[in-house]
Amino acid sequence: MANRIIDVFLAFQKSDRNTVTIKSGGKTTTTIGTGPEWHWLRNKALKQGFQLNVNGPPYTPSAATFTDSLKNSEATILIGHGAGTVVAKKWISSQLDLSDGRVFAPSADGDPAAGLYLTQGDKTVNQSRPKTNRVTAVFTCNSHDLLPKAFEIPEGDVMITNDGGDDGLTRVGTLENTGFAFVEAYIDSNGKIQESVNMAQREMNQGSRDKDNGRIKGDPHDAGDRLHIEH
Amino acid sequence: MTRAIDFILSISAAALLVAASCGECAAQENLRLYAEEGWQIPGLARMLGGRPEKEETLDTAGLKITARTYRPRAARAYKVLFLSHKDDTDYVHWLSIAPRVVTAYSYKDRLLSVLMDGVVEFAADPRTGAGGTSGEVRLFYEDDDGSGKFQLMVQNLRFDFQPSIPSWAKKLQ
Repeated sequence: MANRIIDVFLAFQKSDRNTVTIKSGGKTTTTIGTGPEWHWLRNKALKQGFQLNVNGPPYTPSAATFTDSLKNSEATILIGHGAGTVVAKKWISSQLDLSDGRVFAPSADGDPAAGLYLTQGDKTVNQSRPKTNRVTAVFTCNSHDLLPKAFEIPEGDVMITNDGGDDGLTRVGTLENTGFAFVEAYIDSNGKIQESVNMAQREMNQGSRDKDNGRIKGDPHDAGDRLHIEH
Repeated sequence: MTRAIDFILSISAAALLVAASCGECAAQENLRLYAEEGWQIPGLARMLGGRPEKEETLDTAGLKITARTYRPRAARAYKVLFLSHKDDTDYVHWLSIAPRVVTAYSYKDRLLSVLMDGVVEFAADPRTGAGGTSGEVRLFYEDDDGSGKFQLMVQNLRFDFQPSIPSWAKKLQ
């Protein structure tokens, strides 16, 4: 029996991962995180009947690679920054950059239609909204408010998004760790989505503000960020 | 045609004055922000001093514009003002942006404008030391009057945004 395929696209620079700055004896040292053990997870997945394809970092998929994954894989996981802007006090991602185009969600009257846009020379060619696969996870800054509009989510499939908390922003290193926890739980649970999201949320909460009592357990940057299952 | 909302800003050392309201502007429209003193991009000269990753000539409005793209290493983050409007309220927000890709547009060796791709950068938290990067933004800066300052900054760039040519550059023909 063929392995079930999970594609992971790590669309960010290694240097964009979370940092820790330590001041000691008048000296300041900043260390960039190394990221989770994707290689280890790939081997673990293989033993449990999954083919885990990890691309990058950095790896920005082409439109063809991205849509092929949505058509042929059980799960597609995109981890990156998310392009957008601040609206009121909150960041909102409105597009996912691809190497030769983008997936775009409109937010204002007169905006182009939602969907996949290919760059061909000076022209931009609009294609229909990409269809999600069983699980399409977009771990970027606030992928929750607008980006689901850019996809067609067939019945029975889901899209996993992140709301980024009050400010809509989540550090990309946190998103990578969250995505890793999601994939590991997905493999361990043989594809149980809610269970996998719960594990990913637990990872995302590490070191962030406790939403219930407002107490800062660790780092406040990613405080209160929540994952969502979109249908 | 590009839809745009114009803001005219006067920035002094400690004060920011929004002279024109955003009205009904929505989330993703191009926002054009004017600052008489010019928007600062610290370290820009150094970023543009290296070898460009890509160089091309664009035929824009009848002018042969040179576009040079740079990928600056270790460019320092700088504070950028973001304005938005929601529910009859104008919001002012400052974010620290770390440049990643910079494209400089010039005509007859005069710098006209700069397109900046960057990411939001979190400085180290004073208590935990934790920092990192977040969402990705595109900003366009234009020397509006040929003074060498970027009086115009455009944000919320839609993907089909095309750099404009300031009127003073057309007179250089």
